[in-house]
Amino acid sequence: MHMKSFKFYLLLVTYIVSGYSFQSDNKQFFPVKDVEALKVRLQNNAQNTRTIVSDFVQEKHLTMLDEVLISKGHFMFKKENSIRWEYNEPIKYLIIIHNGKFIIKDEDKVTKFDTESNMVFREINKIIVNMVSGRLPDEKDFEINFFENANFYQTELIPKSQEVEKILQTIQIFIEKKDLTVSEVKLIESAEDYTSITFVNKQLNIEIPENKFLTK
Amino acid sequence: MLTIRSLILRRQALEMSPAVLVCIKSLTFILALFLLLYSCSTGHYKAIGKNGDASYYNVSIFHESFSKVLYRAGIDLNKRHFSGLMLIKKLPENNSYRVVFLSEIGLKIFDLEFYFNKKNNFFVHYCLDAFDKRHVINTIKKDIESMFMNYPTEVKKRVSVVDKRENIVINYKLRGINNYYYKTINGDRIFKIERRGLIFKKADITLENYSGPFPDEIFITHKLLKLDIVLTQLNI
Repeated sequence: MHMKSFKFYLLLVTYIVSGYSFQSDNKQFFPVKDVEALKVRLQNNAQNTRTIVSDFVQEKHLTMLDEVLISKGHFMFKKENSIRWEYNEPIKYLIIIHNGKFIIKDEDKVTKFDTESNMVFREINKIIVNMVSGRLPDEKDFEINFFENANFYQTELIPKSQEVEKILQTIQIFIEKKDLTVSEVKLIESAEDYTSITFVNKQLNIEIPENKFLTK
Repeated sequence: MLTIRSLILRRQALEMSPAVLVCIKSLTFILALFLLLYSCSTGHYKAIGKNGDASYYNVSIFHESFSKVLYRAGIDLNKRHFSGLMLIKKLPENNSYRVVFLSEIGLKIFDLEFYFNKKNNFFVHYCLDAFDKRHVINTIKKDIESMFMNYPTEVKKRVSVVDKRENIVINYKLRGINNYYYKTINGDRIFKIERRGLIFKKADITLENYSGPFPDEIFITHKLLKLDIVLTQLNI
């Protein structure tokens, strides 16, 4: 990984700070005029972030079914590449990315991700955790656009890969302007269905024990 | 067995007298009646009359009052494991049921709709590549249909009693359908479904813990396909 891109990834890590009520999608967004300046700001911010700890609320909107399924959990990021993505409600489910390994704990069943059989899901999971931990994907995989309104930046990712495109139409990442923390990631599957993950109770640079990235 | 028609033909060939023919006809009728009564008394199969016997076959797995349920779902397909949530919802306005299987992170794995009272009673709204194979999606379709008991009115029903276990078995049969539903003799809930083909059993579906108008736990295993499904109800 190039140092420059790493810094950019890291700066996004710093997005997650304190919890608040998020209503970004109610407001109209316009293209960011100076994208490069924004990237520099994000990079500078990310350099100071060693860890992120946050709760999250995931809402699955099935518009045609008039249903919203809510999941809740806990998220951890530790520099350089350790992620703990833990669902507590309505089911217990844990994803860990650590030392290049991708592990899933489903109830008591621990599975090391098979990249051959689950490549797409692995990629999707990586995209999500990368977004939250401040990493933008390669521009060869996504068309990346930046928008803003009074309170938020919105990063829009449009997949170029056919594999990902079959599953996701667009990914939107909402970043709070006041502290450059990621507040919401929105995975849009179709005009009707999307998943939004809102981050609350965010804390930066607190100590995270190494065993949080191990499955017992 | 000799049929009346074959006996008539034989009579013509042998030029039997009418009196002998009447005797043969009567004997054949008595024999047929005996066989029918015998088959009922052994309890293997008992035909349902035109009006049916509601206590035997008027049972459902997803009760009429059912509106929706959320299951924790695990599906093993050809050594691949998929897990997440399965939402089953009745859509009265469409006269259908919708079955949506989602991964934990909310992305759809499949989204199926089962219509009632329509000839084309099944629609795939979305299906991930791994499931998008005719034999796989057809198998899942038949599994779910057998639980919804979404059958055309012309489906034939037969009831048998398995004496040793005292289970009532209701067989639903039509072209492409050969399903056996098991319930205890005094119970009103189905606890097992066997989906069979012409020769081989295709799937076992075990239904456990009805706390409401549907089972809380469902286990589906297949004999001819590496596909296992486990559903456990979540409170929503």
